Amino acid sequence: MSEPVIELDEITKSYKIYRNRRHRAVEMLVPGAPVLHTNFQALRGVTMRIERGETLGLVGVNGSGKSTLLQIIAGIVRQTSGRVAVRGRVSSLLELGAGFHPELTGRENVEVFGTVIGLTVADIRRRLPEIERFAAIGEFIDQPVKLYSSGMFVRLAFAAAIHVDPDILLVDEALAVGDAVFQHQCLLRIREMQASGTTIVFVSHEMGMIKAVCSRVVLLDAGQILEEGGPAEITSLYFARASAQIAKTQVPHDPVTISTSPAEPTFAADPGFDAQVRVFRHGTGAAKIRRIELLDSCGRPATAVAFNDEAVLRVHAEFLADVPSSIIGFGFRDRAGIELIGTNTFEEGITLPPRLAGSTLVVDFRLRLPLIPGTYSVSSAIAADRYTRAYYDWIDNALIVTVAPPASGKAIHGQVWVPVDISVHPS
Amino acid sequence: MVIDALAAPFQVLVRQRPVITTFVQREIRTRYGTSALGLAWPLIRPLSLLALYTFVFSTVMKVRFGENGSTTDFVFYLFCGLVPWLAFSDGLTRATTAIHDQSSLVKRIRFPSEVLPLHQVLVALAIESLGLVILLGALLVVGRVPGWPLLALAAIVIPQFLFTTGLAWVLATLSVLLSDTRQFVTFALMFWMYATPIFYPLELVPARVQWLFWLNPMTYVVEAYRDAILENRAPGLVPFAVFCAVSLTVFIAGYWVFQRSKYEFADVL
Repeated sequence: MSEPVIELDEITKSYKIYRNRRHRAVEMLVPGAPVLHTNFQALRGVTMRIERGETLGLVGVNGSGKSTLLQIIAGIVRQTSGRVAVRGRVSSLLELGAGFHPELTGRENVEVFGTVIGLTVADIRRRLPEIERFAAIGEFIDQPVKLYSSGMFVRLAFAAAIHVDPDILLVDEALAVGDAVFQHQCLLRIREMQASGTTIVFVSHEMGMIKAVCSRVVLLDAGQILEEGGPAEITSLYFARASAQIAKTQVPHDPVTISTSPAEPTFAADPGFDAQVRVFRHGTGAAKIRRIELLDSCGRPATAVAFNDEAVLRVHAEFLADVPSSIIGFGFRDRAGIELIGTNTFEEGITLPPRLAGSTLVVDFRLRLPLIPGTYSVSSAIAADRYTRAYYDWIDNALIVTVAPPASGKAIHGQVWVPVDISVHPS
Repeated sequence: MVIDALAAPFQVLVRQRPVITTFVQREIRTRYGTSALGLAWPLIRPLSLLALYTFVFSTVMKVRFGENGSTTDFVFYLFCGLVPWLAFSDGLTRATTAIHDQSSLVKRIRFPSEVLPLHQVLVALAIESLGLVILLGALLVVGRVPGWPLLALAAIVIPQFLFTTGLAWVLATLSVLLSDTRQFVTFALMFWMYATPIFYPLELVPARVQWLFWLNPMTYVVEAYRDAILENRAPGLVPFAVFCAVSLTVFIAGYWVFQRSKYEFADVL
């Protein structure tokens, strides 16, 4: 077996935190100065080997140390202790277009960029036509980059970064740029690079992307490796931990609603709710949502449900004025903000009666969530009727719901699954 | 070990040559390529300073240079001092902010950041050479053809570059850690300029304190330029050797300071 391309031995990184800029200078310059910093431990002993041609995914919540680790591999940040060995030319997509000079043309910037990562000018000139073709910015290649649209800038920077034949490519969430066509193009190019033996280290919060691209995944938590393994296994673990985390931070539920036998639901306002949703809320205020909760198939409050399991979304509404009619609805958005499912009482043929000020209403939406595992944000609203645009209350991010992978281990293709009948007709 | 440490700053010059070259080109292109007067600017500045200082020091204050003490002489002596001084002070001023100005490079990609202060020093020297061309042209016009000691300039420029770069590395490092450095450099250079015999001949300085002036390496640079260009005198071996030793020390020490802190840059910026 050949040597690993990247070797990390017991890497730690602590950042010195100073209360004041001056303290850092004093500590550095004055001999025998007292210790004026506190330490922030970003990495606590990370050891890993990455073999040639591997695509390693790094996942973990914000602050788990993914980006620091990537910066150490890239040689931008130096570890506090431990040993790093990186064999080969590194190109990183940590920040696209880093160091591009606004006054220089695209072509000139690509040349400068190439020499920075270790190519000769002749090498870069040879690759320029391919970079131009990939970036597809046409005549603009000879214009100063300050005239570029942000899309053009990113396309050129990305094209430059992946066409310099790196041995190691570091990617940090960079693929979430550009339009759909470009993203698709990028993914294809990454596949080509994988096929030609480039080692890739990939940081993303997009578990779908991790699963699509990586051969091995490492889950980091608080600066340590928590687990490593295949993409399916680690992404499930990631989701499980994420939902556990969310459950911990959400306000504990009223014991009344925790009953295993389905009883008639009673209105119960959530005292912390108003403060929690304040910034995501608008509306006339004639009626207000006081609590929104998810119940699993047994009627227990839950923050996570398994893929396509039955669940109830329960909305507690209070009317603060007399209203002749109202419509209550909800929507589930994915992390990109796309509303994947949503409906309301009107569309489902339920007419809500006129309500007097001070009255309340509890509406249960019984539904399945055939969504690709991940976290979703629930919006909910109360409207007057379907014709006026007046909302009594509209709340985004009212609840975060995690959809866990199906127990069967079935893979979900696409964002939403619909029941399918397959019949096969052999000839 | 020791040899490695001493050789390291010179290895930068060899290993990073492609990066240094493109960055020098890029700097000149972005600084002058985008302005209407373009490459006339590096000439306009020293020439207008020359006119201003000549008026103040020669016409108003009657400072005299050379054997016959004419205004022409003053202009030549002043220009001879001004050219290396501007290279030095412009190089240092730009180098002090070089890391800040390119923080995205330092923070986001693996980049040999020692190139940043260094390339500013080189750009300043390149611009200086334009001034020298003008000076030599003017000398030819008035019929003062410099002799072979002119070649000594080539030898002086090398330690001059090492000296300036060593200081540039120290100042660039300090300015990342302490933004006061930028304020300090501007005004320290003003003092340094007047402490260097640019506007006045060293002979006018009281003999008792002249030795103090010789502690200033820039005094040596300015005097050596004048000797080589105007006095037709090759530099003495001993002073040259001393200047080389000082420059090497500053260069190596500056590199050491820079290397010791450069991995903190990404954390601080």
